Amino acid sequence: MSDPASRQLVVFSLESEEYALPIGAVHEIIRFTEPRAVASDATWIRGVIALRGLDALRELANIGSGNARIALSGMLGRAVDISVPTAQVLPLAEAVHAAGDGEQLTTGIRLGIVGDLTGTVVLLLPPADADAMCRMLGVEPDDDFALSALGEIGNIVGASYITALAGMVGVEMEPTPPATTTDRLAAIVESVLADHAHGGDLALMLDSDLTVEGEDCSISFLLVPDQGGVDLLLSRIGLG
Amino acid sequence: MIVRENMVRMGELAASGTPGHVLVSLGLGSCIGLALLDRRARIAALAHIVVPAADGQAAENPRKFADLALPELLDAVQELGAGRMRLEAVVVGGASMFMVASGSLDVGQRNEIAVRQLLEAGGVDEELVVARELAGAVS
Repeated sequence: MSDPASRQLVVFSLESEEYALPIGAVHEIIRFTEPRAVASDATWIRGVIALRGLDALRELANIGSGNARIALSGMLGRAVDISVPTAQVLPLAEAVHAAGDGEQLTTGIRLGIVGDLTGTVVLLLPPADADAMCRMLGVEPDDDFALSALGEIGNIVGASYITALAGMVGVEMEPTPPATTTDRLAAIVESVLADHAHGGDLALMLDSDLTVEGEDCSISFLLVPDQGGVDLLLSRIGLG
Repeated sequence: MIVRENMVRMGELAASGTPGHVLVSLGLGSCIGLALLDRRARIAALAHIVVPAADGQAAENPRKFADLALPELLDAVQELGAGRMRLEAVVVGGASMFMVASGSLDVGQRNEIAVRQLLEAGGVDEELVVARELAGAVS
């Protein structure tokens, strides 16, 4: 430091008191996330948070949805935008709420994942957007083919997401045929979570959005791996 | 009157003996909302069941399993003073959300079967299930 009289400090508060640390002693500042309680005799441990793992998983979701974007764009013949994905590990009770307004009527297209890593990918979109996508494919929404058109969107978009993920992590993952439903968002998300709830109390949710340019029409994606799948993903990218 | 709503989310359970107190579960899907009530004593409890059976699985939260939630639900209402013989049940949920042509039962159907059998075994007979809304999805 050039001037011994001047020091750079990081100031923070604990309860109502202010503290300062020399900036050289601060390695990193991260956004606060609510820690998960752990069973421990040490009363000063409030819980644990997943730090690096979530960043890496978000990056995986980014690559998966990038591939899905290309597939959807090719299918509809239109430009598609992509959002920055979010990755969250949450207790089941909170996971449903994190997916959005549970009362919204939503169309869900679900694909199972089989192979080394098992889980579910579900594409979620407002029913009006589902109708719009059908029309872009030349199918009227009330037509008998509408459901299979949506299934086909799920197939192409979901499969490209899964394939990109599998290729990057280096595991076998195959999509199962799509199934479609329209119901309240909470009911759909709960049911997807319930399929994987047996082995643990936490859900990993990787969430990304695709928006069709100029159509105000978007799909969000939710990947929910089985409990073992989270560990497999993390160990494959060297963080397990 | 101030109505206190108590949200019972996935794998949660709540009981109350306070008139006007509301226990709520939303968006059940394949999960099951199982309520036990003693109308005379004005006591109710609600469990939001996620999967049918623990099968020896150790979990931080046993309440998500039908087979572990029901005994706790029975204890909860009786602790508040409900009479075992006066208990009635309400069972909602257990939807097959995604129609897939497959031979195996989905989690919604398995939840429904498990809850029905457990109620019977716990002495809450079929005719004491005063309301039910099971299976099926909105559309």
